[in-house]
Amino acid sequence: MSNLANPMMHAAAVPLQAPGPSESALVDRVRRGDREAEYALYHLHAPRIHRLVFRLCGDAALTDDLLQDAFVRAFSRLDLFRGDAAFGTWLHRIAINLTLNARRSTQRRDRWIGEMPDDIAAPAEPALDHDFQRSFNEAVDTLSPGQREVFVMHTLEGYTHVEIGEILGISEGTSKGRLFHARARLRQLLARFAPEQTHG
Amino acid sequence: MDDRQLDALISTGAGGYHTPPVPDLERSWTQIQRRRTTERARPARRWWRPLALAASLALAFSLGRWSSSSAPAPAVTAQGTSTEQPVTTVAAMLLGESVVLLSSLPQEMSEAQDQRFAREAGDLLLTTRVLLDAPAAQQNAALKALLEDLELVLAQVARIQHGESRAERELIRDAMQQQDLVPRIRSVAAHLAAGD
Repeated sequence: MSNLANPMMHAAAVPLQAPGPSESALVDRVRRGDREAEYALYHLHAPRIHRLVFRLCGDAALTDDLLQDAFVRAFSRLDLFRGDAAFGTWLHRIAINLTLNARRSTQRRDRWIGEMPDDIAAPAEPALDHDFQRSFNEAVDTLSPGQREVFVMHTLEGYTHVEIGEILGISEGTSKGRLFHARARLRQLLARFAPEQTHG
Repeated sequence: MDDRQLDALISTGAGGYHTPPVPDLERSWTQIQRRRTTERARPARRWWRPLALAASLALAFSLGRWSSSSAPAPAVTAQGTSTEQPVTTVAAMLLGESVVLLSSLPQEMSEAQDQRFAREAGDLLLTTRVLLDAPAAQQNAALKALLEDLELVLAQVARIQHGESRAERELIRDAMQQQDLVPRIRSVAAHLAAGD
């Protein structure tokens, strides 16, 4: 499986585990009610979380709401953070869960296409639209939720499989497997856009 | 299509897939601070509240039984028996607490969250079961059916073990959805609150 070096990856991605003891020190200060530490943690993680949430939900207003929800929940429930994982991982987990729940609610409300287990194929026919970007977007949206999450996080946003595993609560192998199936599905759906092979 | 070609297509398409806008982080921060301030001003949820509900319900229920066995005749008002009022009050509170709990059930949780949700569900389950035995619930078919459905879902949540798959939680959600549970709870709670 190719590991795409995508130019769209967020080059300035903040690692989930910020270097040095500063993050845990900030968390300790937040526990003591330090607003400046809250602000520092927010600025450390908000840009990357905002990008990821928007990639997953595609709605600017909803992204702002979910970003705020994630931080409000994280700061107000800091007593539940035991420090087993990095604060950034925990925060991402909260944000992702909120995003997936919001997307699910929206899908149900709008009677969109229902969720499919990872091992059930999506409809075989790609959209009858020859505009590549539109077809690409539809193809990604056709992936199962699990495949789409991993594809977006890994390929578009540059998270490692280890990070994805920690955030989504799945194994690294499962993350790789979902990406493999996602790519297989995209290969199928985007086949007509593939440049012709040159041999020799 | 080989991997290289697929990568090229993905690279081309990635730029136009939900391209993140530049966030207004300061505006979001202001909102976060506002919500945090509001939250701090709100009284914290007490862990013993469901137990207190159950205890008050049990007390009301016992008093009702005692008074009905010792008095010549049970006091009946336009609203029903004398014990009905505290029962409906507790039922309304139980349903409100249940909606909050079930609506906030995340897909995946930390072990501490799991334990907290399971514990709160257990407390509400206790109240639900006591309420199911109350005459007021027995005489109200809609409330009784709702409490029975709620009992099943709360029992599932109370049994949540950390590490259970996401599918298990989806089963709980599906059960809630199939029974239309949260909207029904809200509807009955609204009726109870209105004194219907």
